[in-house]
Amino acid sequence: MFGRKGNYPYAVARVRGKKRMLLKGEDYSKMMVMELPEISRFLGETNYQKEMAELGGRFEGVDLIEHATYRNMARNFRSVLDFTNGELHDMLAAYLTRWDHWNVKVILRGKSFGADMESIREDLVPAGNLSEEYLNSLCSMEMGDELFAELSRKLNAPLPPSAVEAYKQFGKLTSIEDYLDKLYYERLLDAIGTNTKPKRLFRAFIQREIDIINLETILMLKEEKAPPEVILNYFIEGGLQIDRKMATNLANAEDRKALAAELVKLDFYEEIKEALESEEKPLRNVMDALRLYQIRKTETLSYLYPLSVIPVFDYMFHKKLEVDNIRIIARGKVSGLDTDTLKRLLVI
Amino acid sequence: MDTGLIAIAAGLAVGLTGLASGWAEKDIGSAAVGAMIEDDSLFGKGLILTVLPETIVIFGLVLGIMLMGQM
Amino acid sequence: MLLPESMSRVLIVGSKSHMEDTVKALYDIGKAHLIDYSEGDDPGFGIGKSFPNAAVASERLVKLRAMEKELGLKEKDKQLENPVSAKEIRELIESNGIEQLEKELFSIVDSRNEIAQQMTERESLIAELRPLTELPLSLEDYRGYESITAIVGKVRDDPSECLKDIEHELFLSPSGKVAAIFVPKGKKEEAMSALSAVGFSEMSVPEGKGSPGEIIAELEKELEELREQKERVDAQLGSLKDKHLSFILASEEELAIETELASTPLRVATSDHSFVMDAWVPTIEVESFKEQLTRETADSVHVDVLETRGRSVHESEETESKFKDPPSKLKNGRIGKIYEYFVTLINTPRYQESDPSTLIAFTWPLFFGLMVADVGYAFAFIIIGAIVLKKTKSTTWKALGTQSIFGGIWALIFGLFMFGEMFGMHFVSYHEVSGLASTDWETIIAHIIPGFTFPAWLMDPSQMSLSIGINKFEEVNTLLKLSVYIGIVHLFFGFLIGFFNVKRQHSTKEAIYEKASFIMMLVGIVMVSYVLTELLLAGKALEGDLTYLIGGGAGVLAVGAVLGFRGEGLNAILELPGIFGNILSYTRLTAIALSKAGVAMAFNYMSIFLLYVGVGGVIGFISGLLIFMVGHLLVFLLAVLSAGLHGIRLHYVEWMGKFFAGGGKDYKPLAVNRLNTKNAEKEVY
Repeated sequence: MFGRKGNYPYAVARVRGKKRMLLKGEDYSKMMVMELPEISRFLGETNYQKEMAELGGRFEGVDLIEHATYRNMARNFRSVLDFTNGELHDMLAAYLTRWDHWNVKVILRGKSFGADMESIREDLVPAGNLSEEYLNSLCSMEMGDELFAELSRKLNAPLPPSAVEAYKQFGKLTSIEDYLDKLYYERLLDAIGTNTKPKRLFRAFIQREIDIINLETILMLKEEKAPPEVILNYFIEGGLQIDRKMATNLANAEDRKALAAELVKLDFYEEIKEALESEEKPLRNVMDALRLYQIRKTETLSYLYPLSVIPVFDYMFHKKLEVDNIRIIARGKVSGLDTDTLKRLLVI
Repeated sequence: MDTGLIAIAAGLAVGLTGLASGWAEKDIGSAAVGAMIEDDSLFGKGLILTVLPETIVIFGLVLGIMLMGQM
Repeated sequence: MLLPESMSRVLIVGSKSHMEDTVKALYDIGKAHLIDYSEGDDPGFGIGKSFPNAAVASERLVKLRAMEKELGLKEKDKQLENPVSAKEIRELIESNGIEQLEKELFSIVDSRNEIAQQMTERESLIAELRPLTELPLSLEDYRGYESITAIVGKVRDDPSECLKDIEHELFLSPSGKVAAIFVPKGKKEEAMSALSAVGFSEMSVPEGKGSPGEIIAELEKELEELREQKERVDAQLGSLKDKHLSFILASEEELAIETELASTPLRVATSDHSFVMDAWVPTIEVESFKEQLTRETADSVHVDVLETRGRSVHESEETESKFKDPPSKLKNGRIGKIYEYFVTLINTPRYQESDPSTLIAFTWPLFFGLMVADVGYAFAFIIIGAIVLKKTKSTTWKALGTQSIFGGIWALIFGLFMFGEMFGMHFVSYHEVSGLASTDWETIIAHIIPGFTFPAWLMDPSQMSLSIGINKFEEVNTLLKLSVYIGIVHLFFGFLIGFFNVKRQHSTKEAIYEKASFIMMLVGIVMVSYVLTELLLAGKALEGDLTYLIGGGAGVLAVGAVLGFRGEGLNAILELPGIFGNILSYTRLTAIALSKAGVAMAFNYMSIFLLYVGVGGVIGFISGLLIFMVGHLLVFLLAVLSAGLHGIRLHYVEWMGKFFAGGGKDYKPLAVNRLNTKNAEKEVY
């Protein structure tokens, strides 16, 4: 499916430029002592200028910041897609469909909680194939068969009846969400292929991501004391290091020690070792450690393969991190968190 | 000496070095433009990096001119 | 000389209640470059909170900028002709002027959006209905049957043939492009697949009653009304914009200033009761600064001059990291100031290093002139530069315009007194020239004004020491040598500046290892190369002076290499060919001059032949003139690019590489810069 090579020098220089323009550590420290309107103004004088001007008349406070941050992220990611071409463009386009799945999940989750349209739209990131208008039209639909049918049609994949049934009976969306995740990675891996070096690099990158996601799911479900067969239901095929056998072992591990004995096999075990052994909230710590590992690994790889798709991911991860941090600060401000608590919540 | 051969040599000197520096500048230039779009303060640096390989063709040009003097 | 302004570090300490006054006073004085406090530097201190007015002002500013966006204000029309009184603006803002305007604006914007939406709805409805007008049916005819259903769409051919096996009723438009087919309800699928043979594409039929033609006419009337409404609303928006433009722009500026002042504490260390500010102030102004600040804050804060920073790097290394790099306030004369632009394009010079702006202001135009070296183009550059300078306010264009004028002047000098050349043609041919350059201005003008000659004082080489009218193509070797000599001298000065930079920043010893070593290598290379060229190219024998020269050169080169090796290790030796390459790189001065003159000559050859010899009659004359003009325009544009770019490149790469590191901080004092507002009385804010 992929055509010519792509404009790597141009695209990489641009995303590196974009990355350099991201907020710095000291900006976050300043934002943490600012009032909400000040944060909006401050952001309006950085990369978020366009969004703040567009939305500043319609929203205010935390709503303004939440809308503006995700919209900005979507705009930036789409612009990356616009200025790349060839194989690079196609790889990124395939990668960015993750935001379609994200948006669908946001809508479904919002609808199932009975959230109003505005608060659902705050969390949408129209960076994939589905346009903002289409997502809005989805938002205005009633939760139910019609919406599911529309989704099946648009994603070109029928939602499994069992998952839909699970929602109808217990109000649980996890099966549908799991299906969407699996669908994304399955299609992505299918689409990538292995016939060129950039594709193999991209593929390995996605496979590493699948490992991390699988590990996160397993740890999370173990924390909730889910039975092994349930855990394995959520296993996504195609990972680099965690195959089904290892996943089974992990799911069956009885205590942390047994878990650790299995995890030693992973090449990134050192990164999560400390968090795994921590007394307080080990799960959260492991999640943070995994995320940081992924970001650092991507950064290292982006220097090892300077003319590849990796620097683009490096930028995208950092951008997502920035947006998440801004939203954490904004929400924390609303709920009156003090600076120290906020600082702990940020991932910098 | 054979004038024709000298002229061919001069042409090759300019032409090949021109191709070489063009080839080298292609990627540098597009990267420089990319960087500049995001941060226009990089204009100066981008410019320098882009014209660095230009020296190759200047040498070619000098050689060509000197060869022409032999005709 | 050449160094950025000397800076002193001051410490301002006071109680928190005086912080606001202090900040205002600092903005009023406009000299202090605040050093940002970063979290966690000192225990007991933290980043300060903005003053209370920051939140409201920020909110208003965000709204205001959103309004500017809705009104479509561009960056270029953001300057008012007459500044507004800041005091009045403040009063208007305080009495909720922005909120009122916002309400007014957004009600108009909302109705505009509403109208726009209604218009798109109608337009798409019309688009749907348009093909249906070709059929003799009303909208209600398509729906509401119990047992039959309508299929409507576009076809390529008459579909009756392919439908013959299905019970149906067909309506085909006169054009044969649109068809409505009524079939029994159960047969729709079958009919559809049969229809694919004629390239059928289904269309939707809008709900409603009446004939499509009438409905469209109705809709178009409505559209017309909506269009008028939209025009009215747009006019309303326009008048709103005109009416409030000065208020919007002035209050944006006012609020931007207010928020900047109010958020200054975010850059300052504060404890529960006090604040501590560190700032850089130019040394020559530090005493008056201290005195003024104490006066304006009525002696309520404590101001201390802690140090005056020297240029030694070690002195800076010993201080805390945030005090390490004082800002560079560049110090240049009037012209040097303009050329600062080209230096900062690369990077701001560091506090401890020389700023080459003034030197570039001299050598770049010189190189440029040497490369252009043509009276005709020189005048073009001077005139264009003057026009640019007259029209522009931006630093970029000012710098480029100045360069164009200075470069033009040098080009004029070289063109007149060295090459005697205009538009690639000599004034007078002194040399017996063969082939290409077979004519000159004197001959041409004499052709029109019989007996014309240039005044002897201008053109007679016997009256000038220099031989005017050097033919660029006959003196290639001389010119190449000249450019190499220029390169050697230029590079020598580059290393020399580097030597003084290192000496100042570190010590004489290091300067000798790092820079004097290279100077020696440069001199050595030049001496050896000179002898080698004499031997190999001129075919002289190695004897007499040449022996001493090559021996001395090799000696100097060796000593330089040893020193460099001790200073920078193997790197220094690896740089040796680099120096050689750098010198040769200056041959571009000649190469570009020649290539340009060559292209110009080619155009002349083509056009003068037509113009002067008069072979082609009128058509020949016109096309000759055209070739002349277009050709020289082309050469001129090439000159802008090649002479301009290569001239500055020699400075950036070959020359500044020898001494310039860059990476300095810009000097940005706390100061208020008003464009659209003004203070009547003496006040900051």
